[in-house]
Amino acid sequence: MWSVAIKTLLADRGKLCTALVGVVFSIVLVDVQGGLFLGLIRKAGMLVDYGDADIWVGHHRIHNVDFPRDIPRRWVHRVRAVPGVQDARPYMLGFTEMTLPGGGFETVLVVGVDRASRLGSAWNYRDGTPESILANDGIVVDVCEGDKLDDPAVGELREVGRTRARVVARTEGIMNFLVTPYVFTTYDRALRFLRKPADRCSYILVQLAPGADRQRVCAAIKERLPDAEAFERDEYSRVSVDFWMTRTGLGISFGAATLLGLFVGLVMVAQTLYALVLDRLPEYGTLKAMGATEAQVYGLLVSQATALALLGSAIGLAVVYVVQEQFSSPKAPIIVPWWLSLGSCALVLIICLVSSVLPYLRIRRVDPVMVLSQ
Amino acid sequence: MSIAAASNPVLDVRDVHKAYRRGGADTRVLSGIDLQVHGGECVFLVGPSGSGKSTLLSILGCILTPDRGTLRIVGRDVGQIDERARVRLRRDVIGFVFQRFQLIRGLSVLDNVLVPMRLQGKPPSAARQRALELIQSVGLGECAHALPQQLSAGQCQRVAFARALANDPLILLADEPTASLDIATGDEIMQLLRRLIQQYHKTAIVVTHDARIFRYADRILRLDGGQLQDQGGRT
Repeated sequence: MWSVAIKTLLADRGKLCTALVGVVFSIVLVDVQGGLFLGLIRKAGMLVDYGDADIWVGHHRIHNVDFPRDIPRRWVHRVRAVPGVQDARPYMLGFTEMTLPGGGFETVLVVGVDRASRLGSAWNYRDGTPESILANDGIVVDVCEGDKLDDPAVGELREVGRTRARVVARTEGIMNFLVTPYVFTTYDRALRFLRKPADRCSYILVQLAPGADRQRVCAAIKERLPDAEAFERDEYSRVSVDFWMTRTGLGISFGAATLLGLFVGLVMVAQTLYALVLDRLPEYGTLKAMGATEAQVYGLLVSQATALALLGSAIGLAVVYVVQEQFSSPKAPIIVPWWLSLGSCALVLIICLVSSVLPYLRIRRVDPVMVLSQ
Repeated sequence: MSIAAASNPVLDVRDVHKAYRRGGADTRVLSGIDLQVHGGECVFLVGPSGSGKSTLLSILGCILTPDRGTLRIVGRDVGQIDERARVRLRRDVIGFVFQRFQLIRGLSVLDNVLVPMRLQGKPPSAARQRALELIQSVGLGECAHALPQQLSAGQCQRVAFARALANDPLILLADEPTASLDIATGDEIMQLLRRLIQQYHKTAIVVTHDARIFRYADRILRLDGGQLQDQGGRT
């Protein structure tokens, strides 16, 4: 009966298009909203994800990479002594201001990396190289923050924390979850910009020896430094993401918008299937008169709903791809992983199947006698 | 008495009553109907509008259940079987032809004829072969892939006949098969019906009020005031 369902569906092109609009709308909304959400939330753990450190050691009860609390720098030596640790380097993070050419200023988040290892440094360079950061007064900024920082060019002088700084390289797409631009520099210079004492750092970034067990090393670090917290990279990225998720209600607002989209899709599909059924009541009566069982009649509707879901999902995913290609940017990245696409299609399929219940209830009341009295 | 009449009836109706509740009162439509139809017979049910022809046809087609009385189809008491079995009986033993053809829009002639066989779960290749054979036999071999809206009324009724015969039913129930057709086409359709009954060895009950086609009946039964009167026929 699958072909009967499809052919009758295709025969009503107008209604088919209306239902498809509903499905496509749902898919696009779920995927684009979800993609925007993932793109935004990914920024919360970006430093950790791209930092090349296997373990992040910070103050006890830290919960967000961008909001550290200083720890003693001497802990670096104690961490290096933990079996399985190949290297450990201090890392500095802190807020200060950058003066702008017009007399204005902008709050920035200074990231100070170890000169020798450059562990946790910037990536994705557009102008300059990773070594550029070693130049005198050198700072690295991101071109995507140009509007906030008055488009600093390479070689341009600025003041960061009332200290002379020179733009030596520019990256593309390193933006944090906050509105404050990252400014990468060396650890020593970051201390100056942030006016911090030389015996402090924000984190100790650890690289493990080959074959070392991350969990064991973390446990060993915490044992040696009871006032410290040690996270594996993925775990700390997740902790940072969870910070924004739980404290801002971001997930709820994105989720609510997505649910609304799904609801609109459900209404459109249900309404269209219902209209299709109303148009064809005598035909359903005929089928019943010819000996169609309730299961076969419902099977027709399920087939139509499934076809709508599959066709609509295919079109929807194509639209999502185009939207992603055209509108995704470092500022508003749209990240649509395979599981989001698959999940949205599964959701829409469920919605379409649920939508088929309403018209079925109407068909249940169709008496085949009606076709004999017409 | 013909050989058909001597054998067990295909349809055996005994003391069937049916009433509808309208405006708080029961309106009696059928009162004590007795009817036996034998294999190969073509019986016409005639009578004025509202006389209960369609109601009786619905009961014979297992679509309606009588308030009282028994209906046996090929010896099986329909009142003693559950709804599922009744649906199966309808699908396998009865073929319907409707006044307005009731072909499914969007499906070609071939697909429409295939529908009953799909409901029955017949293998696709065998179903297709039988459908094409039936379409050929109703004279629409060239139109197998046409849509109903591309056909004339007479052609649509031919498709309806082919569809009714798809599951090789014992009984054909036709409700006013010529009502939507002009005189010449109606005549053609009745000739086709007679030929199909003979070719495929079917029993037919035809509800009609079209006196011009009475000559095609083996037996004419008049339904009036809820009672059935035998009016004879061509046999």
